[in-house]
Parts: sequence; C-alpha cells; structure tokens
Amino acid sequence: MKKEMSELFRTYLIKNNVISKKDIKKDKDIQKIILKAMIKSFKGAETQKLSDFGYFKKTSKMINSKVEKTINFIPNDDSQNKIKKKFVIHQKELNLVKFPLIKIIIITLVILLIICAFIFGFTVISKTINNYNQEKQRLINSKNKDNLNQKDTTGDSFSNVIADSTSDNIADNTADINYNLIKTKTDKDQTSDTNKNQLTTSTTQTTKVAVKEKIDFTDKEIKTNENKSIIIKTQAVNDTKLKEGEYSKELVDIDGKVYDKYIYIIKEGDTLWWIADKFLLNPFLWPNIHKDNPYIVNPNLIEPNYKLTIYTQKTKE
Amino acid sequence: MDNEKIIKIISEKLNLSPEHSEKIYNSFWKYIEELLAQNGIIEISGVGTFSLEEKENSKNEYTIKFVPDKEFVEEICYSGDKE
Repeated sequence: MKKEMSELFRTYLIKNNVISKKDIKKDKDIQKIILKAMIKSFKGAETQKLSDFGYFKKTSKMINSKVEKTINFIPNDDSQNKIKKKFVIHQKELNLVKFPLIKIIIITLVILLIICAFIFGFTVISKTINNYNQEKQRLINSKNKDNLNQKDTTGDSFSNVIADSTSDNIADNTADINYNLIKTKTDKDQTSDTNKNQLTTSTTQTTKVAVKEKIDFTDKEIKTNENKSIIIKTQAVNDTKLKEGEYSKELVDIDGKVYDKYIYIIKEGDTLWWIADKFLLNPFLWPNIHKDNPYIVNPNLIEPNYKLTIYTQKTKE
Repeated sequence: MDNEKIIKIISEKLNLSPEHSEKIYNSFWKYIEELLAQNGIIEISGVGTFSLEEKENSKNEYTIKFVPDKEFVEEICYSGDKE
C-alpha cells in the first residue's frame, strides 16, 4: 500500500509534467526522499513549512503532571478552504452516483402508486355511478309499474289515461296497431294567455304500452324491462293508416280541460315552424310541439312519415 | 521555517536543480491536498494521518485534523533527548 502511494505520486509528477521518466530512476522512492528531508529539516526547528498546505509545529502539553511533546499541524486557510470545497463537491458527486438508482426506484414506485390510486378511484367511482344508475333505473321502473297498476286498478279518470289511436274506437285500435299509448301527465300544464288559441304546453311523458303477445321484440325500437312488464316504443314512426301530410283529430280530456289532439304525419319539406303555424296558428309556438314529441332530438331536423302529436285547446265550433 | 534545507537534500538525492526539487516538494503537498479532498483522509507512513472532520452542529463545515505517528513524534521531539 505504501509502495503503491509512492508509485502513484511518481505517476502524478509525470502526469503534471513536474518530472519526466528520464529525470529520476525508477528505483528511487521520491516520496521517501521528500519525507526524510522534511524530518531532517524539522528536527532542528520548531516549525516546518509544508509548502502551501500548512506547517508542523512542535508543542508540549501536561498530562498527569508530565510534559508530553507532540506535533501539531496548522493548516493554511486558503488551502483548507480549497480542500473543504473540493471534498464537499466530491461527496455530492459520489451521492449522485450512489443514489440515482434508488431515486429512480422511488420515483417509479410513487408513479405506480399514483396510477394504482387513480385506477382504484376510477373503478370505485364508476362502480358507484353504475350502482346509482341501476338503483335509479330500478326505482323509475318500479314507480312506472306502480303508476300503471294504479291507473289500471283504480280506473282513473280519462283525463290522466288517454288512449292514443287513429280511429275513434279505442278497442279496435288496440287490436289494429298492437299497442296503446298511455299518456301520463307529469308536470303542470302551462298555458299561454297571449294567443287566442291557448295551448297546453304540458311536458308530458309518453309511454307506449303494448300488448305483450303482439309485440315484435326483435324490433330495435322496442325497449322493455327485465320481466317485460314495461314496454316502450322509442320512436314515433308512422304507425297509423295516415299518409304523409294527413292528420287525424280527436278530443281528449286532460285535467278537466278538453283539447283537440291531432296526429299529423310529417311530409317532405315540413318544419315545426310551419306545422305550428298550421295547427297552433302561431309559428312561434313550435317549441310546444317539440315538447309534446320528445323523440325529436333536433327540432330542425324532422323526418317525413314520422308521426307528430299536437294538442290544441278545444276551439268553439 | 523555509524549505531551503529540504530542497537542498532533495536536489542532492535526486540529482536535480534546487528549482526542480522545490517544484517536486510543492507537488508532493499538493498531491496530499488532492488525496485529502478526494478521500477525506490520507495516511502518510512515518508521519501521520490527515483527515477532514465535520464541525459539531454545522453541516458541510470541515477542519483538517492531524494525528502524528508515534515514531514521527519520537523522531522529531525526542531523538535529540536520546542522543
């Protein structure tokens, strides 16, 4: 080890162009020569300068009333500061070399943990939402079922249960077109006093209840609940015998008020504006028709041959 | 406290000029400084150990400590007494 240091010092001198290989024979131990010279010089003096590094100083101290001689090293301030700075930088470099792997592992773990937390949170939230929706749907279904049962059993007034048909005979119509419409009023009617043809703009929920035996369940427009107790036809295509541009008219009683109920088959070029003008005598009331026909997603885009239900307050004839 | 005596001995032993010898002597302590800055401790056989010690209650504050070898102390401080 000692020899190694001596050899390293020789290499250091050569590397820093202090000596060349030819200058000093390899068998000469430069470090040993320097130290011997330093000791020899120091023997006869109180202090010994060690270049810019500092200096040695002979000192004495009393230990157990006995004088003990020793040697102290007094570093040069500049040199000491330089060494300290280099040492701190070197330590930081060492730490950087040692710890990146640990840092990478920790960061990866943290990222994985965050991702897991997100996935878990998302799963829990979506599950909760799903459960909530299912529960809501179940409640709606059971409520609808209860409503229907109630209507059936109590024989509620005709104002609340209206058979939708294209003919005057409700019973015949049921047989003909496979289903009845049961219209349940859900909100209060909103009437407008501005128009002489005051119209009911009730937001109503239309439920088509079909006779089970006659329903084509493969029809995409037919939606049912699990036990098929509630059947809903989702689109108002023309299922009457009316042709495009034709309409049927009947009287209906809603909450004691009598209305003209028109079933109109949309023809090519029709707009809700035009239809409102024709039936409600005011084109600005087209939103009422839209409300009464909730299957219309975009009121600017109505399809020919589709059925519109339009209510107007009974006009005196 | 100058290094004249040391330089003279080195130049005699290595057959080099005093200037060259002084350069070698200075380089030796520079080398020790570098080793100390790199490792925080350096042991010079027959002299002692230099080390950097962190000051109490202060981080990254170091002082250079020197613990002389017993033989070095004997050689320097007591060899005259024995003679």
